Amino acid sequence: MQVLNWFFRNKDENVRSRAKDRMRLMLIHDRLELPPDRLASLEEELIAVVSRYFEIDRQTTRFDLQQYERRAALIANFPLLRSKS
Amino acid sequence: MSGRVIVVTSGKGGVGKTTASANIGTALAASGASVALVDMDIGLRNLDILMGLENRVVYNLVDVVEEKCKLRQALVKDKRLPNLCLLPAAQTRDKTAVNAEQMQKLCTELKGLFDFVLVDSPAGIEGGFQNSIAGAEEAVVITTPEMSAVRDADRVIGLLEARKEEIGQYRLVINRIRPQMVKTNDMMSVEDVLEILSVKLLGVVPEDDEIIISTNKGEPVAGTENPRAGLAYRNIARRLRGEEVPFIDLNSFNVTWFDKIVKIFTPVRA
Amino acid sequence: MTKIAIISQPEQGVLIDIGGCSTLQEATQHLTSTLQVSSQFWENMHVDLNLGDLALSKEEISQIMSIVAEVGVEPRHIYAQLEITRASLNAHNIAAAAGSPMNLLPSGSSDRQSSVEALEDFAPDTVQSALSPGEASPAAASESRETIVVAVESTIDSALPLPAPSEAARQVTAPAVLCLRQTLRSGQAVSHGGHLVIIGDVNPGAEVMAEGDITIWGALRGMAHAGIAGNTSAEIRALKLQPIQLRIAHAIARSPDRPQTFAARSSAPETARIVNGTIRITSSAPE
Repeated sequence: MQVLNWFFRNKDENVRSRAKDRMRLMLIHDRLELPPDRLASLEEELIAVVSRYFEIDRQTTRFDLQQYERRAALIANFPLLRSKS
Repeated sequence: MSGRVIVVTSGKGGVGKTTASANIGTALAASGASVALVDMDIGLRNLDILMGLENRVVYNLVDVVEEKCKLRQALVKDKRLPNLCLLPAAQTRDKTAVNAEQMQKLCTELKGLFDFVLVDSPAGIEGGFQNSIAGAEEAVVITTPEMSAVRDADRVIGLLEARKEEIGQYRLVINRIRPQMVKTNDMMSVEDVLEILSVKLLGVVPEDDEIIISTNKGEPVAGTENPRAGLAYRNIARRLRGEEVPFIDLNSFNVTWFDKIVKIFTPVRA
Repeated sequence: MTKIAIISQPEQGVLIDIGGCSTLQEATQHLTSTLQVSSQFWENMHVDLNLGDLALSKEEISQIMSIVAEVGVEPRHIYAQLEITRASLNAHNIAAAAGSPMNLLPSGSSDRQSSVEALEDFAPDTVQSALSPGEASPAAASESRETIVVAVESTIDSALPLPAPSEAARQVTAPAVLCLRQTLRSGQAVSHGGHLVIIGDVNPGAEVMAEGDITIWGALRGMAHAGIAGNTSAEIRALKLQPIQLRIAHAIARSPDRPQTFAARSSAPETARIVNGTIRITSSAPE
């Protein structure tokens, strides 16, 4: 049975890309010496600040850490609905 | 003569750092350069065993530092290559027996005698590691395509970067690549690791059973005709000497009859 | 600084050195294994303890002291390098001896100075059989091994006789014969100012040194150096003599580069001694 499973393994069960993604995120945290809850609290605060000026779509708001060379970048995406008066 | 002091390091233990040191040293010496291999893993001496020189060790690095003997007396000549020498670590001492300043002095002295001084650093990033990079001008970071090894390599690269003034360049050797597993997407590839670590590649060494056999014989594979790991290490040595050597196509290895049958039966994955 | 070293001198007692350990856990492990295996040995013995660079709190000191007390040892001097450790000792009303007990540490390596010249010039292709049967040791030449290569300094006139311990010294301090009932593992070292007997194995990476003879009731696979003060009549004997290296006084012999075949390996106890300036190994059959 195991042999059969092995032969017909699911395509998206891609260990390699999963390892790569985990690795990338882990190293960004390592390099910045980032405590795990720090990003969450930053997100909250940023949303609070932006919300003072705009109504934003919380469902599609995205925060992402990306790697450029050996540096990390924080990419935040706030879909704006309308400005607050 | 002023040679180059290169530290071989990895962060994580067990990724093949000492094997790499032995092989790169052997390959460099076989290509005509004079080489000193320095075992800095004080208390956990191993390089002498890989070189098959364990029975010739009389003095060690700590004896030299403590001036119990002259440097020349502690250098153990290789059995096969007359221009290759080993400076063994002390086995019954610990890493506090040597400090960074003493290490720098030692490297300066060795640099005057050899074209290449390869320092095999201990695992970890504490005192022993710090001492072993103390006299170095270049670094070779060894990793395997496993997450824990890559993470530790990244930590070491960070520490090396912090010493840019002293350590002019560092390059990566990816050890124990298993092409078949990369192909089936079960293992990170060379490109994946390079992308994550953003570092220059010095070489890729495929997994090779011959490594274990050569360790048991005390004869590094780089000194033999071995076409896999041995060739990879010989190429690394050539690159260290400044030659442009294309990276070997890993896909040509490890294709056994079993792999071939598997290939017929497994659908190609994206 | 060894992980743990037992350094014993007839005149001065025994120094247990755990200064080479980097953590308390490591120190306690080594200390426990060393003390407990040979507990009777420690009775009425003058013992010093070297804590080296270990940084220990008051609680950690009590941990060490209770391990030591368990076998009835009460260290006479405790050496500690670090102020914090000395303060912790003081908190227990234990006077810490300042500095490190260097006077007790063996100076074996400085005696090796002259012999290395011979070893280093030993080209592998000129390796010759150092043990010629019959001629070297007619008394016990029943079985001579052919592969131990010997390098030796030509003038061994600096040999010192084994110091005879005074009667008084024998009572209060360490015995002229140090007998340890334990297996010595990689990183462990024992040095003794008299004859040394180990009941157990000496593994690769371990070192045993003595001013007198070394007798191992077990396998010798590490390094043994007898006659460290220059006594050329010192002997090394073991049930299984398979050392990486042997040293007697200024002579050094190393194991063969090619592993011995099973047939060539002796199963009988063997003795190494200096004969005509080189180390010879002979079967320890009754003479």
